[in-house]
Amino acid sequence: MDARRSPQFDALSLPLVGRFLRWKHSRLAVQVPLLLLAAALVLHGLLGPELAPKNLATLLVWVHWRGLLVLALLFAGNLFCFGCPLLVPRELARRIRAPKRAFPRALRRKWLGVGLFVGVLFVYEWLDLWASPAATAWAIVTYFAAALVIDACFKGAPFCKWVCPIGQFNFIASTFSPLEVRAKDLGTCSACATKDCIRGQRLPGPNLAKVAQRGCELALFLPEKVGNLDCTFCLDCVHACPADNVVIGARVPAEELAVDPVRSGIGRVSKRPDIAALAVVFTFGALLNAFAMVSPVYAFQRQIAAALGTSNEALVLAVLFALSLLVAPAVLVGGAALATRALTGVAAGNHAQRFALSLAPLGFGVWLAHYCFHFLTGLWTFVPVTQSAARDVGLTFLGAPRWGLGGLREALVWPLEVGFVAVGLIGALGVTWRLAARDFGAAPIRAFVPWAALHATLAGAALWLLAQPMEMRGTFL
Amino acid sequence: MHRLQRSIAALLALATCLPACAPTRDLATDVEAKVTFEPAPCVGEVQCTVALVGLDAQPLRATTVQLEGNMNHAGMVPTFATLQERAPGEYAGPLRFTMGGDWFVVVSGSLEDGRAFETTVAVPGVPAQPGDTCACCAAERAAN
Repeated sequence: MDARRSPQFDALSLPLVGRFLRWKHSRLAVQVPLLLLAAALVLHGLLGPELAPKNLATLLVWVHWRGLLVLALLFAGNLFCFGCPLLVPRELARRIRAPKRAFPRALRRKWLGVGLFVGVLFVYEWLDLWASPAATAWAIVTYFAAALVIDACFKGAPFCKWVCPIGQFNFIASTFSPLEVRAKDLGTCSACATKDCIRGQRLPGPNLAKVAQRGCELALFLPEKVGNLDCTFCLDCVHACPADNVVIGARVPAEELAVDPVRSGIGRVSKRPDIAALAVVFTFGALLNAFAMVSPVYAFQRQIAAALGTSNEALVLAVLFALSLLVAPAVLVGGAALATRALTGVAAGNHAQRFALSLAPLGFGVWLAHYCFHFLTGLWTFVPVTQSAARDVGLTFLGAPRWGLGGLREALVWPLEVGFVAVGLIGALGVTWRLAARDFGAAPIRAFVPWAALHATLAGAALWLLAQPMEMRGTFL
Repeated sequence: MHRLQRSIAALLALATCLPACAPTRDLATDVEAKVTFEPAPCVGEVQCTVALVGLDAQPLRATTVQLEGNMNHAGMVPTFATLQERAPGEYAGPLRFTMGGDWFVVVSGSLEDGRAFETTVAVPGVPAQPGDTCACCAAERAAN
């Protein structure tokens, strides 16, 4: 962890970019345009064409935003949370009335966020959100309302930390990102008496209780912050630190998954089954989401429906989700844990919880491959849809819609998809080896093999799924 | 807190009313387009026939008839076809399905009296593999 003390790279020192990020209102400058865009998407979703490919709500949310989100996570960090427009209404609401209550202690784990993440995946499939502009618009409104209500009732950022499904996705995916916010010099932090990075900067004089610049709302105390888990890249710590002792530094992607220090705001990840569950759901959810887009899923769903004697789509989908997100992980992760126990002879310790985190890079690789397929093959489709939307409101300066604009050919995207899964697999194997070497010093290979086999199996399944002819369908019976 | 609650309630009420403000287009409403495919829809090119009929079930002649095939998932490039008249009120031409999945076909054009028409026909479950049976054909076959 020497790199923490002598960072080689600091995005805050970059020309233009660094100056922008250091600007106190940089986050708001990104959030406000995204808020206006979200409002435009809601309006177009509710008032525009009911056909999904011709509506900005479905196109920009399910094709472009998701693609840009994962690419930003791959090449930089949690940039969406930095510019998250969901927080603007709550900031306005807090100007009317600042919440006093703390988020219930019983809910201060990831379980609620994990459940909602599964819920979002389920609703996406059940209601065919990708095919419904109005439903997509209501999904956006629901997100804003949820963020507003929760953060209007409870102080801090409980929606981001414990509730937001997108946030949980970003937190676990950003463990694979190459950038992190961290302290420049831990010695400077040791000498710091005010702890502004977490407490916030107070106004001098009689207004001491008034915070001039808030500290980290997600309870990440910078000297003890490790990696990107729970970090929204809000940069409040950058603005609050009086010693200018914060950097956005480069690091080895996924390295944070192989270490287990006490992390501020999190504790030891080895003591957090909720985070292990998030990694498992994140990974198996990636496979399920890809599975839902290829033809074998329809035959499988028909088999489930026949076995249950039902044509209730929600019930069949619920069974598919239970099989994919409960039974399959229990069998595969549980099997790997039992094999580890048998091979190493180490009965103590929770092997499944320890090695579950190593799934995250592979899961991210599958999400990358899937979302980038849609994003890259439909790259330019926003042009004719925007032209069409402009014409619908009487703006003709963008010209006639060029409906022939598409994106990269599928044959060109396929190698990228394979590459993303391969990168994820390499990351998963690297983390697994580090964990095995750390905790099974005498015979790390015995602990490594079962989990490497699991990763290879899941990567093989992902490639098989991605190689299937795409069948984007909303009905199966 | 009451101000905040009232603001949220007002916003939700406004959002609920929004769909009523959706713009409408002046299109002929007495036109029905019956669309058939030969062979059954699958990935690749199929021959599409459109029969235009009025409310009295009599054929309607049009000066132009276009097809636009689109998937129900955003981000896909649409396919187009201009149909030729084969018989009074009957128009035909090739349409290409580029990917398996749920499609819809927008049939649009101008009638002889100058009125524009547009109607959307769902083509669910176009199979990705030739020889597979799409959901609509399977249902049709079962019904027969």
